[in-house]
Amino acid sequence: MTQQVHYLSEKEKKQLFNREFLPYMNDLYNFAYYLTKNKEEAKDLVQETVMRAYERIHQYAPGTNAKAWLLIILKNLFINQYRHKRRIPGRVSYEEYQSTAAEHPIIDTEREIFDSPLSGEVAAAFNNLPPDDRLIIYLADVVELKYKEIAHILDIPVGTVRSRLHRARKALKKMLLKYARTMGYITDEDFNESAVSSAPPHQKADVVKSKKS
Amino acid sequence: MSEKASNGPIRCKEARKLIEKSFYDTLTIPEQINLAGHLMECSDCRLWNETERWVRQMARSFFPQQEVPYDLQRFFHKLTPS
Ligand SMILES: [Zn+2]
Repeated sequence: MTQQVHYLSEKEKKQLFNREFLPYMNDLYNFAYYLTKNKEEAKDLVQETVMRAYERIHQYAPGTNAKAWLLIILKNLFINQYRHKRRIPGRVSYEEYQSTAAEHPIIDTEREIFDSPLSGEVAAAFNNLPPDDRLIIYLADVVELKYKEIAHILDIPVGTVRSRLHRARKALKKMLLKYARTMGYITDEDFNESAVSSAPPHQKADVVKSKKS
Repeated sequence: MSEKASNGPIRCKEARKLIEKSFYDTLTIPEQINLAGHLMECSDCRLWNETERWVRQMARSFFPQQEVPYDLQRFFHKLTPS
């Protein structure tokens, strides 16, 4: 069981920070870059996130998910500062971040332009996925967060995360298989509805059979 | 292959839900056993599993990872000098 830390000396705070938060600085910076699409802005955002996390380290329960905790702070700061242009670091309470996030559950992704190493058709097709779908794929497959953690970050129910992620992955898979077929990596036979639908065709056939009998 | 799957404790549709769940959640012990049992018997779902993993890997390649800038690394170390 984890316990909330209330009284920490400076030394203990540093140790806790180094042990639990420092390993995720790469994820934090990359998420900041994902949101801002700008190296300088990403750096500022991470610095502010880290300062904020450090100030509030007593609210963190050691052993719980430090990565998700940091990403939530970062996302809320981003919403505050970059969406609402309220550049007043240090004066906005965490509760205010949360209420702002609740008003705007989905991050503003209008600015997203992907500089993916996969060029051409497939990258363009990926960029055509709805921004929400790309964001949820990013959080699930790149940052490797669980349903529950994504739900916390996006302020949406776990069930919504599950269904939205399922839909997004299905669209991505369809797109990738289509690309693989165009490139000749797979055959037309491999690329059919059963490759993307989680209900296999033989089970649909079983249902038909049982209805007939 | 597919006809064997329908004799197992779970069917392909459930197995595929569990495959997705295994990426983003924790499977319970019975779920793990059911899924492993199904995958042993069903080549369709084994292929499905591999394809899902491939999709996950491909998804990562759409988001090139940035290296943390040196001055930001210095900032972290300044904040928490050992
Ligand atoms: Zn199966």
